Amino acid sequence: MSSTAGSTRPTGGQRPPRPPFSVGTKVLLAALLAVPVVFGLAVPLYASETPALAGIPFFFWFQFALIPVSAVMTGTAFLVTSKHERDHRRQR
Amino acid sequence: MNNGIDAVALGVFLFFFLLVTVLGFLAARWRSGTTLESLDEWGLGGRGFGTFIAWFLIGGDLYTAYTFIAVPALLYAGSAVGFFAVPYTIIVYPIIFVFLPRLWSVSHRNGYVTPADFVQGRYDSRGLSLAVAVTGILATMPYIALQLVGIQVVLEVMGLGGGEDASLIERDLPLLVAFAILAAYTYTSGLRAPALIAFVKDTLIYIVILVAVIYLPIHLGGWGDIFSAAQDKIDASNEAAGKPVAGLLPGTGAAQWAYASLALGSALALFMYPHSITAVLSTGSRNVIRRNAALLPAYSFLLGLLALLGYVAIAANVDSDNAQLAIPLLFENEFPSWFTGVAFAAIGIGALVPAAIMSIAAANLWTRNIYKAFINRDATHAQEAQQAKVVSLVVKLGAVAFVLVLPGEFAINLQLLGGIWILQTLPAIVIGLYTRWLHRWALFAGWAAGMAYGTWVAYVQPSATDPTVTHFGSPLALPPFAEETKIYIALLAIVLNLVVAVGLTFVLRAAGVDEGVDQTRSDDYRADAGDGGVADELDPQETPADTGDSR
Repeated sequence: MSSTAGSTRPTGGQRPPRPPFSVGTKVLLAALLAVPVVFGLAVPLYASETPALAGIPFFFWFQFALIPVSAVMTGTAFLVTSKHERDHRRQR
Repeated sequence: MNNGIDAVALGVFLFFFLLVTVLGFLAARWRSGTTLESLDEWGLGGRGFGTFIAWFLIGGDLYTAYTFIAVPALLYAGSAVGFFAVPYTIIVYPIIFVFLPRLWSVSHRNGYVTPADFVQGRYDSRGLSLAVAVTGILATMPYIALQLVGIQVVLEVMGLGGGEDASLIERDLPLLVAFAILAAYTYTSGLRAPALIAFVKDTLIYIVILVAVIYLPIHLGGWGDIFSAAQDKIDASNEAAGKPVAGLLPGTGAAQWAYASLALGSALALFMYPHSITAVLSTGSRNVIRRNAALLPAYSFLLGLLALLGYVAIAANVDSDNAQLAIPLLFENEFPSWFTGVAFAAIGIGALVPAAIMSIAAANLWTRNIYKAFINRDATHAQEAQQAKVVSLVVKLGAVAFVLVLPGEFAINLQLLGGIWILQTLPAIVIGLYTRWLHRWALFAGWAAGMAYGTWVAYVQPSATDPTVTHFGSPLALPPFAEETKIYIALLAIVLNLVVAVGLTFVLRAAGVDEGVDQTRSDDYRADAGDGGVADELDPQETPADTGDSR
């Protein structure tokens, strides 16, 4: 059951708040997450029939290939954020 | 097309339908706390789902039966722009990764159940919160109706429900029965029902699609033949029209702008939908969301394969005036009866999961942001849960009436509008997660401007291919002052929305208009499971598994 629903404020954390990411980490995260967005939206880059792969036009297989690539990028970003949180917990 | 009822296919379909019905009712006791009598339990499944369950739940929620019918139908009809669903579901995950953990944190700290709860807490404005809630409900209703269309398509191909000459009751009885059962177990089990059923749905979908994309190309002579069959059909339709109306891929600049703007606009809108946020808030920790942003693209791959089945249907000589029937007909023609039954069950159950989550999300919005905010301000947790349960029934009833009474295009037009509308809540929700600089009344005015403009522009769009369609003919429109490049209307409306919101914020701030009191604190936005004010809402069974990554 919720003890914090409605207007009652929680009493506040026993832990100190998480520190924000450093600038370097932020840049790394932004770069990792930008890859899927930029390539996904760069339609003129991939709107072409050739080179075909096993009969599948480039347009289609490029986008299929982009899916695992973006998953790896987002997955790496996840590892970066969870390492940041682990380091923070160790410091306490 | 009605060639009688295939008993084997129908038997398999009914078997799976019964299976999920039993699961739906049993779900009430699955991982449950002491009682279902609160919105945290009924409406968010106890707020403790881990990575595994969340993957099935969110995947089952976002990739709906209607998507599975409509996306390949677009390719079948010769519109490669329909493949935008793939980049759309690629770029949505980085977006999720960035802002949803913040929404999760502030919602768990403050007991928010809906996005409109957050807007109320952040901006101290019942008007703005009401706007967000009403938009969410309006955008969700046609979406539920389209799930029914997904079931209807499958039932029609199976030969259930009679032909054109059947009476209204006879034709729609199977659909009504399916929805009555769905309504009953959603009522008793809340969000746990779709969470449990999603396992069955997604397992079936993965099996069916993988079998289809491996077996059918071998059977039909390989992908090369499939694409050349599609090309032939497209050439024929271009020749018949006397101008290029179709293409194997978006070749022209205009088609590429359409493709990219639909992908971007839809990706931004997806997580404004109440049912998406409901699924995300049901997770047990921030890391569940981030991890799933990397794992959920598996569904995008599936969706892409499914889209290609539209071309496979062309190569397999599926002939249907109604493109939405292409995929069910393809399955029926090419597969043995029992496997057709499995495929139809996958689509049918694929409609039930999102329909359940959507009705719960709409019920949560009603209960928290209309009932509790305006009608009964002292509602107890039990009253909230009761109210939401009843409203979830009303919402489903409304969706059924919608589909049965109004013509089919109506739901599709409203779904188009829903996408435009829901994006107009983005400034209040997403920008609000980072800054409170935008004034609450400026946000309200921006929302109103975006809604009105988007609705009007969508209304006046004629269809590019069918001269008899003069309204709601396209999700694309010319931006002001542009001459030929059309882009997605939702993006046009959000630009206007933002311009109004920023401009009025300067005015209202200069005039010193009261900006209300922020009930959230800056450290709320980074709080995680186990932190103060968050821990007690978690399911104790889930906490060790999902917060234990510090070891």
